[in-house]
Amino acid sequence: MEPGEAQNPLTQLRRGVIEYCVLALLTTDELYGFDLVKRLGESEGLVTSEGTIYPLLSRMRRAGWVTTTWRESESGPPRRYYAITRSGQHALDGFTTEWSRFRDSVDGVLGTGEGQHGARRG
Amino acid sequence: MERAVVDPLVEDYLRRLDAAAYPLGDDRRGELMAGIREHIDAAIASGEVHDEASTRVLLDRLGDPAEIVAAARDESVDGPAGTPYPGPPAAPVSYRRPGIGLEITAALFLTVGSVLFVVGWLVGVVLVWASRRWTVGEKLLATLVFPGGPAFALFLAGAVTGTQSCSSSSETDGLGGPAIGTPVETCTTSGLVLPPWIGVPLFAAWVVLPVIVAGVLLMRARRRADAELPIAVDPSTATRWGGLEIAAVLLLSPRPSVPNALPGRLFLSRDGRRCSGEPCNEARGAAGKGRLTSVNGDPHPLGAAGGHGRQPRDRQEHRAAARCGASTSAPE
Repeated sequence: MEPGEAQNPLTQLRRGVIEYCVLALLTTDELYGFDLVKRLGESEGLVTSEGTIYPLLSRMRRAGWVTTTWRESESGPPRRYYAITRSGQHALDGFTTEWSRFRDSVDGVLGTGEGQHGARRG
Repeated sequence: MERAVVDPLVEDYLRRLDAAAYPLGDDRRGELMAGIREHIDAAIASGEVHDEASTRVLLDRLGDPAEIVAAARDESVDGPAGTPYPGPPAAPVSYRRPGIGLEITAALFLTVGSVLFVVGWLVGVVLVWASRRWTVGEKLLATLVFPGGPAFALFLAGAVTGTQSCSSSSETDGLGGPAIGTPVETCTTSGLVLPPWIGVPLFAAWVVLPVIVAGVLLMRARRRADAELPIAVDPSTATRWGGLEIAAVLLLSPRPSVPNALPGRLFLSRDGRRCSGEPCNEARGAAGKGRLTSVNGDPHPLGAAGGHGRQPRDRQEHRAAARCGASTSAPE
């Protein structure tokens, strides 16, 4: 996408960070797809097309970041639950550090939020 | 909830998604479809989707099928080889994962089942091509590695072994030969057609590779079946007759007519015919000479299929040939 014609500058950014948001949600709970999408939807602006989460989950499973197990549901067919793996946790830890730096850098350049997010290189 | 209103919208959406997802290939498309279906089912089960308006909201939020597929294709660029696709639980209460009875049956016929000469292997080939879980390339692989299956190679290999014992004995027992009035030509020919250094590896490959191919294809079929939706099981039908069970009965049932149809018998009989009368002595004396004649005689072991009409004598003659090999190996 050319810089000049970007309709929504956050599209690319969103694409890059969403999988780490999924990993973060999975650190506390094992979730099935629908539940996961709902939780992501609670944070405004994270997800636009909910359906795109499923290819993402598929990719994360193949990368070994999440594992899946099937569980019975009280209504309807069994559901596929996602759990974070050790390698997924590593990826999340790495991203969390990088993201803090990145966010602080952007905030610093934009002249916003320096005070809100604490010291740089936190 | 108004399934009559909800379902057509959902089905239309899934149809469009399935069509758009075609380029992803069977594995990925199956997994994607299963995920989206599960999402919709869960939304309906949660009660938040109950009429046309709420259904449209749900589908709008899921997004345009083309966009979802684009996301999947985007990811396929740098997607790692990854881990095998895990299936549903081993013993679901009311759902089971899709079976691969057909594929297992096909693999069994192609390998173990090939003892039913030609017929067993052909059945395997037909079943392989009937499966929708294998690509054309995989089906070709299963068909071409190797025609006849391992059992076919085992009988050929048996023939080679027989030749080796017969001909080697001729060198040590050569003095006993002249005592026999009528020279008898040979025991078998295949050892000359394929010398051991090439024949043994070939037969070993013929036995082992089909098993490996069958194993790999079965694992792929299993993985693809797991990507499909679980199948609802009626608890009242406890036992299920699938391809696997049918194959087991076919393979375990008595088959009295089979020995005459085995390629090894036909093969040996062609050469064994000459070991008539008191076969062992004669064959031992003449085995050395037999090697020469057989070079000109029957250049290809598969040519032995022409021995169909001689079947009534085959068994006795084969036994003679076997005895011949057994006794002559002793002096060494």
